[in-house]
Amino acid sequence: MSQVGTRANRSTGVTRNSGGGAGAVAGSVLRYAVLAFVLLISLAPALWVIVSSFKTNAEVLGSALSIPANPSLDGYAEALTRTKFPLFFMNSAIASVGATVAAIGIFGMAAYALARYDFWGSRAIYAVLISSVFISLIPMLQPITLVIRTLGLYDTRWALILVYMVKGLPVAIFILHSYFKTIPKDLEEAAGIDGANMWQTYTRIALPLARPAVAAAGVLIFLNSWNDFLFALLLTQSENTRTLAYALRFFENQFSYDFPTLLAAIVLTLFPSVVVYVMLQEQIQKSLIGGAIRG
Amino acid sequence: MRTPKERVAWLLAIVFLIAACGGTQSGTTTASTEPSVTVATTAPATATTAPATATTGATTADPMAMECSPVDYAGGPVTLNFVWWVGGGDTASDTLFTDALACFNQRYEGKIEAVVDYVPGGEDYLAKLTTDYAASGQLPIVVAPKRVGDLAQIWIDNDELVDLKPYFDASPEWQDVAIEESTTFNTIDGKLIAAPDTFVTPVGLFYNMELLGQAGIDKVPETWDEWWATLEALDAAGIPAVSLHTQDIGWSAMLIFEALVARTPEGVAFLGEKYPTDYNHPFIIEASRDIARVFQFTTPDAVGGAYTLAANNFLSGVTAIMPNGPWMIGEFRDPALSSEGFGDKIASGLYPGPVAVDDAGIQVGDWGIGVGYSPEETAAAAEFVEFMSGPEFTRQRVIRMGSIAPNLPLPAEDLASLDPLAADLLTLIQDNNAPILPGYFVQWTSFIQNETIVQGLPQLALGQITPEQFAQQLTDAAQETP
Amino acid sequence: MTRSRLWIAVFLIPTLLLFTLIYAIPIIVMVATSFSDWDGFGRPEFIGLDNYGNLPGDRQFLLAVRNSLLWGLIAAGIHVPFGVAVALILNRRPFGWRFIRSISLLPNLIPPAALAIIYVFVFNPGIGLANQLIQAFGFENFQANWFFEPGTAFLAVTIVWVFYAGVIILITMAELAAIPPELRESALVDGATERQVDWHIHVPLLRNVVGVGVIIAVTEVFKTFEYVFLTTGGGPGAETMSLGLLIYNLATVRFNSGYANAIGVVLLIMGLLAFVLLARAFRVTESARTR
Repeated sequence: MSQVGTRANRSTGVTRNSGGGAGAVAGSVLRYAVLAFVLLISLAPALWVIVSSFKTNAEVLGSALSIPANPSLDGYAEALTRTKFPLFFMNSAIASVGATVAAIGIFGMAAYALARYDFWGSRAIYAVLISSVFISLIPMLQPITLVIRTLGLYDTRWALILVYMVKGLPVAIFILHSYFKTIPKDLEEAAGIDGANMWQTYTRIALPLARPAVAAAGVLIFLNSWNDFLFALLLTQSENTRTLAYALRFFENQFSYDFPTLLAAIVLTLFPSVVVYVMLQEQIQKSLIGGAIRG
Repeated sequence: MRTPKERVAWLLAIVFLIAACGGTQSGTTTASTEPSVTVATTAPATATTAPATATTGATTADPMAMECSPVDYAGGPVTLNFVWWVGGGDTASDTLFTDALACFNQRYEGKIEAVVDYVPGGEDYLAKLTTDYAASGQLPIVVAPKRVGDLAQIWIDNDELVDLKPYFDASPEWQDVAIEESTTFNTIDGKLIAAPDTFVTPVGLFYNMELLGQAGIDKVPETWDEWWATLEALDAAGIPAVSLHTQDIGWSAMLIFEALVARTPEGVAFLGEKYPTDYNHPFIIEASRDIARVFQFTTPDAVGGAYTLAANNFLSGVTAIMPNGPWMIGEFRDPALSSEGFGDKIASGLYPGPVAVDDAGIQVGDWGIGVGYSPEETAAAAEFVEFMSGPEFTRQRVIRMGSIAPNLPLPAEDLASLDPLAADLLTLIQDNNAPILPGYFVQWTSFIQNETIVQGLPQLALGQITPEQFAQQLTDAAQETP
Repeated sequence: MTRSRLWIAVFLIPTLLLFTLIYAIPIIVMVATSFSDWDGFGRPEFIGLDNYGNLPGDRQFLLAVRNSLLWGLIAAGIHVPFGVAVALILNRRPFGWRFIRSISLLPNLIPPAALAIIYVFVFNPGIGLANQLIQAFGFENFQANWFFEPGTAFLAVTIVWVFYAGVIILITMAELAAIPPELRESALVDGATERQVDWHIHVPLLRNVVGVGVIIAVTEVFKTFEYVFLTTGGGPGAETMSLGLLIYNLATVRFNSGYANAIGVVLLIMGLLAFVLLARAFRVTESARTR
């Protein structure tokens, strides 16, 4: 293994390769072009919505490229006075975070058991669990509604936590299972505590090693829960349990004539998620990279 | 059961009824020009605000104020909890509902409380009730059969709706205001499965006279020749003539389509048929050819556009003609949605023919009660259903939204508060003796409305299929649905 | 031995219970009623294989299958490779990489319904950004109704999601971070270029995460519903019909749940086949670690 420090090593690598002439220049132009493209397509819709939300209705219907003549906050005032954003945001956060934590906790154990132990029926169980990802939503609506009503959870946040968690089952099992499979058994045994039981091995060794997979599955489950409106429609009813994504649906109908207000409502709906994401993203990245201890 | 001929006869009868009770009205409408008459220009009813009570601050002299003083009711206390929907661009209906709800709760204070939770839009109302019903096999205590399309027939077949006949028979004032045809239609095997309709709402066209003036035209077209000449003139002046759309059951375009079908007596009779199975008729093919022609006189976003886009194009003065009902007038008078003085530029018109289209038609009623609740709850729900289809609600519907209640003659001072644009439409209907055609959105299957039109109309408009093929698509869809 | 069996049971039982409660019943009901004439409420009437027999003659169904397969190919061939390529570029820490990494996930925070609304505006033939940009670049007569012309509808519906690979970028970067830096460094010392490092060292080590990404993306597009429903409604004609939308229409508009469920079974089988093939191709569950 090289004794040279990382920083020195990287700089030598860069100088050596950047001396490679036209090909390297073209390569780096291409790379920046790709990044510029990513930036454009990721930002353009959001920027368009933000700019348009300050326009008047006639300006929105005029030109997409124009800049609002008299930037107006009316849309925001309208949207804010009519809605309970903090409450809806809290409901979304509780349901999404609750579901994500519960899904990783429960399905992680099953994924581990199936990945680590080859017992009679283990492959069949895995196949059956995975098949759930291919069911279209429609046949699921009725049974889920029935279960939630029977459990007396209709119109509670618990209903959303439970359903979003279970919706994450295939993703959690699939990602965590395939990751646990790649962890060599001897690594576990080497780090293992003598006489440790399965629970201890799992929580102290396997799970920490699987942090990238946990984070990946967690992000997917969180985003799916955060963006759901269908189950919020079917399983909740009162304002006290309304989530942000479902509230957005009201705005679409309420302000359907009034494009600036509709767009302002979209901005307001997205704003808290973006703030929280920006605040947490270092945490997310760190936990993802935490897996680097392996190897 | 009902032949097309009978239906047309009935529609004409309505028109005569209007003529009978509208004598006072034509005088007032032509005179009333003050724009201070505001119809439902208050903030749209929303799920997130407290319902505006119609009574606050209003004097009894204001015809728009509802009669909400407490009534005698021996039962209760009962809470009725059910869902209803808001939105979809029809803010006048939303406001009327929330006002009426507040009024009901005031009337029955301490005895019955109706607690309504809202869902965002009619599609979601259908999705929620369908899923709930499939899961639990039980309906909410108060339901809106008219708003759930073909699902209502399944409820009827499975006996899920309470017989309202005992309550209806016990209330002469409810019977008086109900439209007999609707009572008959909603009576199945001797049971009244939903509250009969009490009004019809005629749907015509709105013209932006300022834009017509720019094209050198100073009057609303009355014949088809004048119609096409108007479109050509607007086109020559660089103005997209008509607001059209193809999503959301293609409402604006299909209203004109209906008028095009109604050019022949066979076409009028066809529109009277419930769930026709064969659309391969010359009048359908001709109408298809001509609706494709109308699409040459619209905005480029009409094909594939949604209702709100079509509406917005008219409200912001892009297009000159908007096919829609009088509930849209509130938006013309709201500077936040259109512009200052926009409503004064607008004129009402009939479809060439002349004809109007009925917003509802004879179909399953607005309100019903789910079976399986206690006698006290059911009785309380019946009070609610009666109120929501009784004389006071009907009166409000007429004076706020320009509906026609054939069995509810109203005093002139009530009708005077009707918006001039709505009043003009009524006058045009009676002066021209114009038939009010049943809507395709009632007569044709939901498969045709939601799939065939949404998918096929863009193809027809862009010339990707022929009128004959469009008629065949409609036929195929009609024959597939059970 | 029995103790470890007990532990396995403890680890598995909560998951199996939840699976039974929420998934097992729908799967069984879906498969069983796919052989029946059923409106979704009453008693299903057994009609054997009739529903399946109708499938080959159903133009909407065939188009939906074709579209699903195409979208699957696009997801595996463009969406995922694009995300992986961006992750590899960002992994070299170019200027602004942190910012771009954050921004790339932004579209995923927008609910699909809202994103669809935005794209309906973007592709609006009159006032939309797409046409106006093209016109601003000198093609003044350019005019397209993106979502409703046969030549562009499929493309427009695909553009709405294909380059939004934020999740792929995220999980690929996490995997790259887990690769010991020494591997790269010693290769560079030995005279390899960055491109060779990416191609010969990083990409092989990414096989597992790429496989996972492809499977998730492909299964996602097989079920596509919202993007189609809210933009083209499956049109023009049935040009952009998806299996998810077709099932939705059949069950909720036509109350033909038996037939809808037969298509649901086809979707299930297509998904399982794709899963098995892709998992094999990427050897997803095998240990890939060479260190």
